[in-house]
Amino acid sequence: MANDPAIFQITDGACALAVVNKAASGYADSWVAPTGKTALTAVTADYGTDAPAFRFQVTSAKLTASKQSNRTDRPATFCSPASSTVSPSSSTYTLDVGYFLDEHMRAGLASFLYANDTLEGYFLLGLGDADTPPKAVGRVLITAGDFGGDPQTNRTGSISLDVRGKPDIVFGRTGSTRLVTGTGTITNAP
Amino acid sequence: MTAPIDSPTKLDQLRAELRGALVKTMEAVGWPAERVHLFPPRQTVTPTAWVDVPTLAQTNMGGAPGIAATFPVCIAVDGLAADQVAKLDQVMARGVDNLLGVGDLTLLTAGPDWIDLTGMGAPTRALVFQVQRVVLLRTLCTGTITPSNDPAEGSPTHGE
Repeated sequence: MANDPAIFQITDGACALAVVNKAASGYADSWVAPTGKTALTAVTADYGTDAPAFRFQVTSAKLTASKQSNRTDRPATFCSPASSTVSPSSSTYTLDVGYFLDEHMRAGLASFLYANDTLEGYFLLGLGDADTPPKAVGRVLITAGDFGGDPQTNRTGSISLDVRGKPDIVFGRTGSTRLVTGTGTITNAP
Repeated sequence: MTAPIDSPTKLDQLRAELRGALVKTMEAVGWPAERVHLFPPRQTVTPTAWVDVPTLAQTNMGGAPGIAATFPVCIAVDGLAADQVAKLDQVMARGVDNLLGVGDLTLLTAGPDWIDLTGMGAPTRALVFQVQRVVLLRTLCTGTITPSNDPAEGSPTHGE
């Protein structure tokens, strides 16, 4: 119906992580994905052989934006009330992931996070089926996750990875996309 | 008309595991394994045991959504009332141990019930365990209850 809202559910998403390799051929600090791929071209397989299995553990994956702003307060005068002026700053982002703990898998997500704690990594967060848009890519600071928990129950953990700068996001679906880079460039295709 | 898909589902697998636990329980109290049935028996000879129809419902175990299957596991007995209750005490204790030994199972309840086995309006004293297992977890990839279609089980590294 014409007035119905556009609802989109994730049914076959992607969530991949890989450590930044500064020794990679042609490496540049501007890379937002392994081998210099973009939000449009990056796929789960680019993030290494262990990455494709991560999404089987992930129950929730979200890029959370936090507004940053400064306020300058001006006191009241004899002829005007007090006021406050806001000065915007760039939002900060975190990659928040909920997942089933998989300590029993030597190449699982728990193992990856623990082994690469404090290292810089690339992330891919795909909401469309089979690595199709909408997708977000960027760099995060990897931190270790939980180990252990309650017995005889399915255990979940959660991590909140700080994103370096602003991620690149491609909105839309295959065949009609808008790429918005962290530097502010907007590209529509077609 | 196409042939039905014959591959076992997660419900089939759990039913078989529950039957295995029932066999151990019946034998532990001195009853023959032949009295244990995968499905409600057409002709009942007490004492008898079977796995009944499951109920599927949404669950949120550990904060992660999914679907859980709850199976009624039934054991019906005969004899004098005092003997029935005494035997069912044994069945309940050993049944709990054997069912929890199946693994990845939650015992919701175990308690008495009266089941009309013959359809003649004469109910028989029985014990019913309600056991639950999460059969479908909601993750970024779409899982299924039919293992042949489960992408997780097809992954080369998953479940190692």
